[in-house]
Order: sequence, then C-alpha cells, then structure tokens
Amino acid sequence: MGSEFRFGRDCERIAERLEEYVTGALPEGEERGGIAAHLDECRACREAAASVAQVGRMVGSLSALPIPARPGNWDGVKARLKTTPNAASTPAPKFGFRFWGVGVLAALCGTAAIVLPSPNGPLPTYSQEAARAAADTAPGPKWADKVPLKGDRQDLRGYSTVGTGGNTLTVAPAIFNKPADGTFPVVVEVGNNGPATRARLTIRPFQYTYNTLRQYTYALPLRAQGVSRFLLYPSVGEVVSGEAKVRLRFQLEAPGREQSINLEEPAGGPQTRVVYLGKRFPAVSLKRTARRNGRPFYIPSSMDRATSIGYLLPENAPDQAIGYDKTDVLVLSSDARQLNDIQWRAIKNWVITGGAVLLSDPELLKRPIVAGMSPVSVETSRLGTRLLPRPGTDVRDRLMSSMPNVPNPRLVRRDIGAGTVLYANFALDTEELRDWPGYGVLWDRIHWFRVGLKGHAYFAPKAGFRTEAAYHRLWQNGGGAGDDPFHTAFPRMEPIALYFVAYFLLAAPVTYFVLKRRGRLNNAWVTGPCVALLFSVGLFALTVRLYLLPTARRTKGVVALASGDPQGVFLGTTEFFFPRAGRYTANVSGWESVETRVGPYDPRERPLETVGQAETDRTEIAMDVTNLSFRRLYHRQSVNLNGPIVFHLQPVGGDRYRGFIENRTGQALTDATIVMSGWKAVRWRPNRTNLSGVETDRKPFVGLFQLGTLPVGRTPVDRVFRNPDETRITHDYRELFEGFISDRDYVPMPQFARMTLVARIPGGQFGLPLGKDVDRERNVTVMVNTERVGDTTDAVRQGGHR
Amino acid sequence: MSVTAAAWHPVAVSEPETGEETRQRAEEEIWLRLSREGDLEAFERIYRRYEEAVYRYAFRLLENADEADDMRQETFVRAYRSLARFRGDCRLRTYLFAICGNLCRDRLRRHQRRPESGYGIAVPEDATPFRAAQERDGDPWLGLQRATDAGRVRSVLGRMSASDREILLLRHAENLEIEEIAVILGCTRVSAPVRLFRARQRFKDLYLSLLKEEGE
Repeated sequence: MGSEFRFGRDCERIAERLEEYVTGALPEGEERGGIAAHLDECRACREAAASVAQVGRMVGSLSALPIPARPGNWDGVKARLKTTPNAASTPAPKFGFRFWGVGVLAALCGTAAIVLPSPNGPLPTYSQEAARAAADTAPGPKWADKVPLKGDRQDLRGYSTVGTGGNTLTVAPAIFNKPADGTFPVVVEVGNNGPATRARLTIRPFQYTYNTLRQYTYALPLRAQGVSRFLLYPSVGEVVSGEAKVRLRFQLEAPGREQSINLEEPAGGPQTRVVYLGKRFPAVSLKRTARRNGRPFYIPSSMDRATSIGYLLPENAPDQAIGYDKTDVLVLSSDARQLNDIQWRAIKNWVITGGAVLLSDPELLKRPIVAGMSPVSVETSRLGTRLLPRPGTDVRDRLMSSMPNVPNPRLVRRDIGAGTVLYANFALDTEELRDWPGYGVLWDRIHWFRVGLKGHAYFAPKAGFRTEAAYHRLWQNGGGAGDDPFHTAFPRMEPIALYFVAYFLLAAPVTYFVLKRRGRLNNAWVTGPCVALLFSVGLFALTVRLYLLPTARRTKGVVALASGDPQGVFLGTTEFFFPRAGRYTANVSGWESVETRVGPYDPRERPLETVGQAETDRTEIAMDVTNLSFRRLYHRQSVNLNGPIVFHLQPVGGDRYRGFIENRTGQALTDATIVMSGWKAVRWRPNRTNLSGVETDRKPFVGLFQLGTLPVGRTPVDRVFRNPDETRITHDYRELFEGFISDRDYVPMPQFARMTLVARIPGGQFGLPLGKDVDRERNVTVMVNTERVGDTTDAVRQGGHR
Repeated sequence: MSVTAAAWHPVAVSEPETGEETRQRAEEEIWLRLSREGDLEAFERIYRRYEEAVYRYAFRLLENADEADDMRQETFVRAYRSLARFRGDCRLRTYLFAICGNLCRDRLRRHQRRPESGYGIAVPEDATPFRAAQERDGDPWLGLQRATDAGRVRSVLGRMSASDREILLLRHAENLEIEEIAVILGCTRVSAPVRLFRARQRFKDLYLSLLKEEGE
C-alpha cells in the first residue's frame, strides 16, 4: 500500500485528498490506508496534515472575535428592491439592454452610412486627379499638329555596349520618325560568344524622374557564336499622353552566363520625343468621356481597351513571331497569298503563343503550312460545332437561310496552343445575320479570348467577387444567365446581412463570455458598441468594394469581309459596366453608325433592346443609370484592309528599283514625294555567295524624289538611288555576319533606311479612317509609313555596325 | 522522530444535516418561491436569516465595517434580481456568499488594495512557545499549536492574497464544506482542496516569517 503513494511524486495527490482525510470525510478503505502509509514516510505531508487542524484552529478563532456591529437595513434594501424589476417578472438580462441597443444602433449607423447614399448617387470619388484624367480622355489636339513629318534623327540614336562576359548589345531605332502611337520600333542586336542560349531582354521606358512607365520583357533565342537580331516594339503610348520625353533602359540577362548588360542612356544623351495622340495609326477607336452630375467623373480604365486595326502589307509581314506582339487579331485576306513560308511560320508561332487569326480565303488552305494550322478539313467539318457548343444556337440554320449565295457556309475554329485560328468562307457582314439575337454572342465567342483583361474583378451575384478570368471560364463552361453579373440591382444586401448574422452569432456571445470571465460585465455597454463599430468597419470594407468597382468599358470588334474583298467593315461593340448609379455621357466618335442596346448579357434571356441609333461619326450618348447595369453599343465602320495606298518597290539590280504606287483613296493626291531617309551609301549584291558589303561613313543619306500628282490607281516608279558620295568600302560583311546560317537571317537593317511617301490631300480628305482625324482646314501633309522590315529582297541595306 | 499514522486521524469537522436544517431548507424553498413572484415579505425573511452571516463574511474579506454593510445590501439586491437563476442546487447561504464574494473581490480589485488588516491589534511580544517548540522538536511548526493568536492571524491574513484569504475564511471561519466553497469560488470540486492546501501552506509560511520578524 505504501507503494501506492510514493514520496515526492504523490505529495500533490495527497494534497487533493488531505482535506478529506483529516476531516474524516474520506471513507475507510484502500485510499485512506495509502495516505496514512504515505504520511508515515513523508514529513512534508505530515506537516501539511498537521497544519490542517492547526490553521483551521487559528483562522477559526477569528469567528470568536467581535466585529463592529452594523444592524441590517432592510428598509434600505426594500426601497431598492421596489425600484428594481423582480427576477420573475422580467428575466435577468444577461447582456444588458444597453449592450444590445447601443451595439445595434452603432451597427445600423455604420451600415446606413454605406447603404443609404446608393439610391441617390454613389459615393463621391471625384478628385482633381480624376478630373485631369478624365480631361485626358477627351479628344485632344489634332494629331496632325504633332506628328513630326520630317525625320529628326538626332532624337534617337543607336548605341551599343559590351557586357562583362563579352556579349554585346546594340540597340538602334528601326525607324526615324516616331510613330504617333508611342511605339519605339527598335532593332536589337545581341552578339553571343558562347553556345546557343536564351537571353532575357528587359526594356524599361521611363519618363523624367525615372518613373518606369511599363516594362517589356522578351525572351530572345541567341544563336551560338554570332549576332542575333530582333525587331521589337516597346510602346509607351498607353501611358503617355501629350508630348513627353521618354528614355529607354535596356537590360540583357543571359542565364548561366552570370552576366548582365545594363545599357542606359546617359544623362544628356539621346532622348526620344514621343508624341502620343491617343490614336494609333491608322486606328479605329471609341472615345468617351463620362460625366456624372455635371462633373467629369473618372472612370478607372482598367478594362479600357480600344481595338485598333493595323494595315499589314504582305511584304512587311514580320518573319518572327515577336513582330506580332502588339497584334490581337490578324485578319488574312487573299493578299496573304504573297506571304512566304517563313512569314507563315512566324504567324503560326505567334498563334501558338496566344494569337488569333481569321482566315477568309479558301485558296490559302492549299498551302501546306496554312493547312497545318487550319481549323478544317473543310469538307467534313460541321459548322459551328466547336464555336458555339451551347444549345439553342442555331448558327448554321441561320447562316444557311441568311446567305443563300453561299452554298456551304462555314465558320469554324481551332485552338492551337494558346491561340485560335478561325476560318470563315462567307462574308460575315450581312444584315440578316446582324439582326439575329445571337449575333452578339457569336462575336463574344470569337473575341472574348482576346479582349479580356485578367485580374479585373466582376461582382457576380451568386458567386461573390470573381475575376474576369474565372467568369470567363464559367461562361465558357455553359454558365447561364443566372451567372450574369450585370443585371443585379444595387445595393446587395446579402453580405450586409451576413455580417449582421456573424455579429450576433459570433461577436456578441464571445464578447459576453470574455467580459464575464474577466468580471467586467458591467462594462458591456462600452465594449458592445465598440465591437459593433468594429464590425461595421468590416462591413464597410466589404461593401466599399462595390463602390470601388470601376466603371468599366470595353471595346471589341472584328473585321468582317468577303473572301478576297479588301473592302470590309469593322463591327464593334462597346460594353459599359456601371456599378454605380448616375448619369453618364459617352462621347462616341470615329464610327459611321452607333446603336445603343440595353439588356441582359445573354441575349437568349431577353433580346437586347435598341434604345438609340445614330448615323454619324460623332454623337453623344447620355445614359441614366439607376442600378448596377450593363449597356452595349454597336457600331460599325467601313475599312479597307489593303490600305489607302500601296507602296511597292522592288530592286532590279544595282541601285535601281522598280515598282508601283497604288492610290486607292479614290481621289488624286498632289505633291507626292518619296523621301529616302537614312540610306547608307552601300553597294551590295543580291546573291549572298557574292556578298561584298560596302560601308562608308555613318551619315545617313536623305533624298527626295518628286512624283508630282498621284492619280487614282497605280503609278509606276522606276528610280536609281545611288550612293551620293561614293565612299570606299570599309567592311566585308561576310566577316561581320559569320554567325548567320541562312539567307533569311541576313536581315538588312531597316533602321537607317526608309522610304516614305509624302503627299498632299486636296480638301484634307485621305481615305478612311485616316481622314477622320485630318484637320480639313489646314491642308496638312499626311505621311504614309511604309518602312520595310525584314525583307531580304528590299533595297534597304545595313546601317553602321557598331 | 517517528509519528504514527493513527496520530493523524482527527475527527470529522462537518456535522451531518440535522432535522433543524432540513426544516430550514424547506422554509427557504417556500420563501424563495414567493420571492420569485415578487413577495418582498418572503424575501425579508431570507434577509433576516442571512444578513448577519453575509455581513460577517464581507467584513472578514474587507476588514471594513462600512464597506461590508454596503456589500450586504448590494448582495441582497443582486440576489433578489437573480433569484430566477437560482435553481436550488446549492444552499441559499452558499449562493449569497458567492454573490457577496464576487462583489467584495470586485471592490478590492477596483480599489487595488488589500483589506485593512488588523494592524492596530498589537502582536504579543511573547514568542516563547514558538522558540520552545523549535528547541524541543527541531520543528517550529509543531510548536505553534499553542501560539494561536487572533492578532497575528489577522495580520497574516492581511498579507495574503484575496483568494487565499477567502478560501481560508470560508473553510475555517465559516465552516463551509468543500463543495460549497467550490460553488462560491467558482472552481471545481477537485481544485478547491488543492487551493485550500496551498493557501494553508502560504499561511503557515507567512506566519513563520511574522514570528521571525517579531523575534528579531
């Protein structure tokens, strides 16, 4: 028994039972015997047992002492009890009325501050910066006033550097006259003295005080023991408006080589003067300013994206996929038959990395490389099966009935890598098709994958906040109208109610128990409101996201054209997403017609209702918004995919060029001049085996060739462009470009050589859509940029190799 | 020195419930029921029965007659308000003591002080029994059996923490059962004797140190 309570370890257990043992409350038995045996052995416990009676006697002696007499005051107690509610008549409030009352009041006040402003107007987010930003989106100065018409070569010079590992980086402008859209076409040469690798080139345009505007990162494949050349198109046009001086910083990193080349323009060095006109050249865009309550209201433009159309002549098509990195959709008409295999491979590589191609010429499919990326087997494919998998979309029947002239209309799609190739063998722009309710969906399906900007949050009613990418996935997987984020009334009460429930279920009891445990229940009237206020702040933080949700605008569209027909139409839609009530005014310009439709996102649910129509290029559309809602504008614009002027020259040997200029503007141009700028005095032979390069000094040559009147149609050009100073040969290009392995790699550097056609437009009208932006009163000169990039057959020659 | 286990078998202190107590509890049941219905006369009987015990207990804790009087009044007011929650699973006295103890603890905590202990009562100079016992037994504690002195006890209690003092007073001055003490202090039936054990040890230590101070 004695072993049951060992010395030391058992003293604690003894302490639990000692009281009962000493007072005799512990019944006779094994435990009592064990304690007795332990007491025999353990002196400390023995003393403790002795102290039970000892201390009891000492403390108990106090009860015998007289204490100051205070007779009980029942009357005083009774008086208080009469004013106190009886225990039975009102149940004892566990959590005082003040706690709940003031707490609820505080929570209601917090919520009211959130909810109440919404019916009359949104939270005021107007600010000076916002006003300026809104002003920036207003139509700016006429672009023709700002475009530098003459080459100012001093602005952008080539420069090079040598890295620590021996690699070289050379950067030179691809063209002299900066395009109006803020891009900086540059040719980057990277000399690599090691094995083949991939380098990463980072271009950081920054403005004035080293504010990085936007960063471009390119993965450049470097060939072994040689110089690789790339044509890149970094742009600051999206972030710079007006005139700005922008510098470029280039940083090259070659992995595994432990070296980095930093090439930065020194202070006072070459600076680039950017003229950004908010308009690409040429471009179709929708401009708008929004006003609310008479004041400019800044619309966070995280989703703003204008769709622009660029003209690409077949001979200018890049031969590397990176040349298309500013392109969203490539529409290939019958002119694409002129593309060679290398250019097709570039297109294919671009599609794989996320590009989109719309083919409309069946002849193209006869080329093996095109057939390889074609979505068809034309004969067996079923129309629309992959394009519109959702039920109820009777595209085929619709097409069949609306296009009796096309025996077997097809619109098919194939995903290659991250990109898509579409093939249509019919003209997409038919009135019958356009009236079809599913028409908008059709274009959504085609173009959604390109126009969506990731990371922007929609507020979907059933799924809470969700990124657009997530919403897109849901839409693609057959999400119905119930997932439509756009037709939900504001404000939304679910999250608010959720917070209330959480407060009453969680916060209030926890507060109560904490207070009770700490014996501070009488402070509940202070603590309760504080906790409620805290929850109100959380509630506000939750709902304020609705207010911060930007008013979004998105323009998208497609070029619709018949096969082989250069005349087409750009059909665009602009979607406005209004998370706040207010009166908005959209200034729309640059379109031939605009049609406003309002309705749910899914046209199957309810047809879009046409609320406005305008046949003008400038109109103002006022939109009164009372709820979170969604508007859509349809607009159309005729385009000529071949461009208003085709400028085609071919070398015919020596310094002689022969070709034509085709004026498709519909009217004769005057004072047409070919400006030869940046030409080096270089003689060459087209046959590479007989290559003998000649480089003279580094001063580019500028020449003007007057053509006079440029009538409609083709004007033949046959000119000899000679080396003006006949300087001696200084380099053998075979040594310089030893690393190149094919003819195509031997790309003449176009940055020093350029042919520009300058012509005057009677009345300032110059085709479409170019003429829209020309100041008709001032009879300005319009520059048509036809620099040639990546064409070995071009007469453009190497510039100085530094 | 060996002490047999039989020497440490004292008699039980608590007495079994007598017929008188049973009658009292039956009375209290009726008074409680009437009080819950708002009968102040019934509650007055409860007050008459326990006001002195509550006052005494409050005085022991606070050592201040005026404050103890306040606590008595407050205790009964609170008790009346919360009679609906009293389900009779402990004795009414225990319930009142629990309320009074909470109030007194709140009062002490709010004023951040210890009770005014009986410092005014002179501690007897004679510490001979302690020293004699120390010399005889080699154990000073055993010799203290004869050295019980109310003044010293109050002084020692004044130096103790409120919780230690309270549990000692409840157990030895008010002669409450362990179960009742556990209810009043809001602790478990198991932890109450341990707390009591430790309080007693501290009392002993403080008492010895007090004697040493007196000896010096």
